[in-house]
Amino acid sequence: MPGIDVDAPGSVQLLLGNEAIARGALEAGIGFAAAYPGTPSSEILETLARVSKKMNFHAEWSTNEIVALEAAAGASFAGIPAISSMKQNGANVVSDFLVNVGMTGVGRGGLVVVIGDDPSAISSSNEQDSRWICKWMDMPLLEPSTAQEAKDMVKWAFELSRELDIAAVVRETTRLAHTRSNVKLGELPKTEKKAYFPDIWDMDKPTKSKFTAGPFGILHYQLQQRLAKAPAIFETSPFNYYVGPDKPELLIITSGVCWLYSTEAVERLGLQDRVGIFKLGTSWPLPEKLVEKQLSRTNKVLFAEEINPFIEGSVMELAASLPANKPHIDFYGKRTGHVNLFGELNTDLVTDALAKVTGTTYQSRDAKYDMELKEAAKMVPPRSINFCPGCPERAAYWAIKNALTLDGRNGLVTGDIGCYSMGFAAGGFFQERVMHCMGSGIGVANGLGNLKQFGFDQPVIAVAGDSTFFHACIPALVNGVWNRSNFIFVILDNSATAMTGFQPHPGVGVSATGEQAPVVNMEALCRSLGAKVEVCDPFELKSTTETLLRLIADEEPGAKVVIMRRVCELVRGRREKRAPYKMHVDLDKCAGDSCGCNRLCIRLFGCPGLMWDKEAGKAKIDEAQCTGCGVCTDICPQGAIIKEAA
Amino acid sequence: MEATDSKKLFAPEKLRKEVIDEGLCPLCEGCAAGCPYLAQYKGGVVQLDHCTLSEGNCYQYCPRTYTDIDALSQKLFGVPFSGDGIGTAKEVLLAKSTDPEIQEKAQGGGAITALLSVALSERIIDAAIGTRLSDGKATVGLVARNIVTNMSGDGSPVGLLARSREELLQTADADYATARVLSTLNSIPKESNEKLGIIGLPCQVASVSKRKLSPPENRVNMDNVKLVISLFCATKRWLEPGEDRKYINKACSYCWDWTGEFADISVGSGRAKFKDWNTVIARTKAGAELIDIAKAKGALETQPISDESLAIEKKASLDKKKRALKNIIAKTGDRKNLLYLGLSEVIVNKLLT
Repeated sequence: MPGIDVDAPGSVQLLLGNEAIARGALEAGIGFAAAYPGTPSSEILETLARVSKKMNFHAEWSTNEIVALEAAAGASFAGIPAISSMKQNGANVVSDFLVNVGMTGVGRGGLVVVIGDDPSAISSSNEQDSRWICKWMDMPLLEPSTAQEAKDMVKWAFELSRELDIAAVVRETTRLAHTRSNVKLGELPKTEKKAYFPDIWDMDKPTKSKFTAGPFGILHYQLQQRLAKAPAIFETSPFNYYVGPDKPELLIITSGVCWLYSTEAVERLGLQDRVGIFKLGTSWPLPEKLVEKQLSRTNKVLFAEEINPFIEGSVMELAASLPANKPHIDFYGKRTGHVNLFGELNTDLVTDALAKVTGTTYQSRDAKYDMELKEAAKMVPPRSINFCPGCPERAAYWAIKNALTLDGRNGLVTGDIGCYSMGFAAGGFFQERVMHCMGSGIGVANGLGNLKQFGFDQPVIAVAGDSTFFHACIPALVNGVWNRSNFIFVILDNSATAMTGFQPHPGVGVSATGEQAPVVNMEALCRSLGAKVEVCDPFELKSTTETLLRLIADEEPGAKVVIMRRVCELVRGRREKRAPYKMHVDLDKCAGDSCGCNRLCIRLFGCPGLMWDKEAGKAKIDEAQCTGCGVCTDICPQGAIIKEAA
Repeated sequence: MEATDSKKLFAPEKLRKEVIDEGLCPLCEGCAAGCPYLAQYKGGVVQLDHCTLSEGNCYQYCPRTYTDIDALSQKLFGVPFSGDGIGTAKEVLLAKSTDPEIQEKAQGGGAITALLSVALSERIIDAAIGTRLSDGKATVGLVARNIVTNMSGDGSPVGLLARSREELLQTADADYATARVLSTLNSIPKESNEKLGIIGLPCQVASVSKRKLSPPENRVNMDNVKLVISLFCATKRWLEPGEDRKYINKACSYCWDWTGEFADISVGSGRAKFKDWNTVIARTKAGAELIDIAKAKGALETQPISDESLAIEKKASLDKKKRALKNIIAKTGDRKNLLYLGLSEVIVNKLLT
């Protein structure tokens, strides 16, 4: 399959939504792309980084989202079109800079911000509707429904950004980001780009020589004036259109992937003659005249959008300002309970809502189907939330659990979002008891670690991954040292941004484009902050537990750091292509369910590479899963799990 | 996850409820040794994870869970338990090592080291399990621990398998804080044929004897345990007179056995003018034979114990029993509820008069 850089205008390629976004950026002639990985947005920068050398632009994984966006804005100030992509949580991280860059404008380059929302939080700590950031910060919002539209919208978003001198936001959701469909390619620009920061005394365009926000309220007023030009542009946008009878009984107003659900729902119920669909691609600010025109078709409207009533609220505000002589419209949506306020929508949910509003009787499928489905589901073995086979984080949590249990004061782990979040479940022995946004584990630990005067003596262990350490933990660590908060900060250094797909970070010596890069030495960094630092291998279970116990007993206040270093087993496997050990269970030694073992390896340690042989009543290596890491040899109280050099 | 019957307690929970929470745990390690769910840490037993077995060695081998003293006596000595002073004894004498190096290192007369040394050289045993301080500062005598509980962290004794006189000397000097004698015993694979000698405190010896009654399924083969030597329980000698009490594990006040009545041989320090000697009780045929061999080989010098000294030892031992019974009854408020002690009413009445 050719790459997304194929120069064949008019040809059709099967692209992932995220690849289509990257292609759109190429067609817009970007010179700068920066991001921090996060589902569902990661493939945008990955795709761009792959072609950046050939296409002569800069692509980087940045330390975190706000640095990525600031870097991209810097490029735009100097006249280089720049894109920054992020998952929904990234929108929260960048918000402080984003509100400021609204005031200053983005300069000649043009700045496009892609935000990937994850309805139902399929791979996120939280669910959120990031579209509000556009109302909050006075930015234009585009919502693609298909990969084709994603590509076209991103390209157009650069023009929009330059025209309004505002960052343009393209909001995708998981289903679009991770679905492949046909995309017709456009042209790749051949123009040379020259970066130059405007002269101070460039009197022709005085505002463009400076990008300094505040303190004048006038900047906010100017931003609003610039944004006020958007509706007129949106009125004629090809991304907004109506399909259906001229005077439908019901009008569905929808955006993003919900447009597809709506189209299918109408077809499924055979309501093409009675129901029309107005697809809104430019969701904020509303193209009011166009919306008014659609509203005048009918007196019944159903909103189909995911998570919050964003368009629903905007349209109802607009309707409230319509002249009094207009006929009354009944609005259905989240406010009326026809559509969920949380979670993803799908064709079934939209069909249900549509059937209710139109009074159509509808059965989605044979009643027997659900019964059969239930039966079939019983055949699927239950799986708990767990770490991968051979994951060093399981070993780390084992050591943490043992240290905290031996200590006996009900110590706790505070963590955040990453592979190690799974420490809240059986895979991490239920140790992690606080989990929020990136960097929050150590932040919360700062508070818990300074409660001694209230009798608090529970040991506190904050955990974060290596990439998260660079992303969001350093200020909290500085704070812990400075304010003498008593906690242990465990950096689970598996040498990758593992959960989002092994992207490099400042500690691994590789850049986004695969080139060699300087290594930021985390232990030297932590030591320079004044923290006591220990480095250990979590597979050394006993000494890791002892290290933790020693630091727990250390009464000198202040944050202490333990770097538990062992490369992600999946990364190691890819690199080395072979297992370090060949594992087997000595059936004579295995005590199985009897006293002295009680199935410790399977029942508690729980590596998926271990399984239970029901007939033999013994443990067994699952050769399909076992990575040969060898750590279970040290878990087995009988010495029955044997590792041999592979 | 297994279904949990809220009424049914799993073995470690039962142990916790009946022994640890009741303040009876002597920290002998009888439960934690060989169990991956229980660990001894800082003078306590910690449960690391849930075990789902309702019957377990942890409960079974605890010297403070119900123990049928008569059954033990019958199994080990072939006679019912008499309850008189120092327990079953074939012979009581004073003994000391003839080896100046042992004498220098050992507490008292070095009788244990001498006996074990002979047992090793005569292939009566292949290995002796004693203890050695982990910082290498071990001095005298062999063994285990149990009375002093303020020891923790670095310097706590580790178990040692001694297979030669040199290794044995490392264990020489009794250390009466908790040592890893039983976990060392339990670390020996069941397929091992090594003949073993164990030196422990009375509570550890009691746990060993319970293992003999009902051997573990997956651990050391108890048939290989050829020799069990008990120390008379006492505090480490560096404690000033009178100072030891405050360091003594309170649980030890419910202990009825001062001399280690279920050992093959029990050894204590000689009293008064016999301080350089050990009081030695041979309880079993194996024990008496070893003493004879040691004497014949010239490794052990002996002399009869005076009637006066023997009476003192017996009284001390009886006093310990009486104190323990009183403390137990004070705790339960019921003469018929003696917690772990399975003693006949006749003997209880005899001890309480």
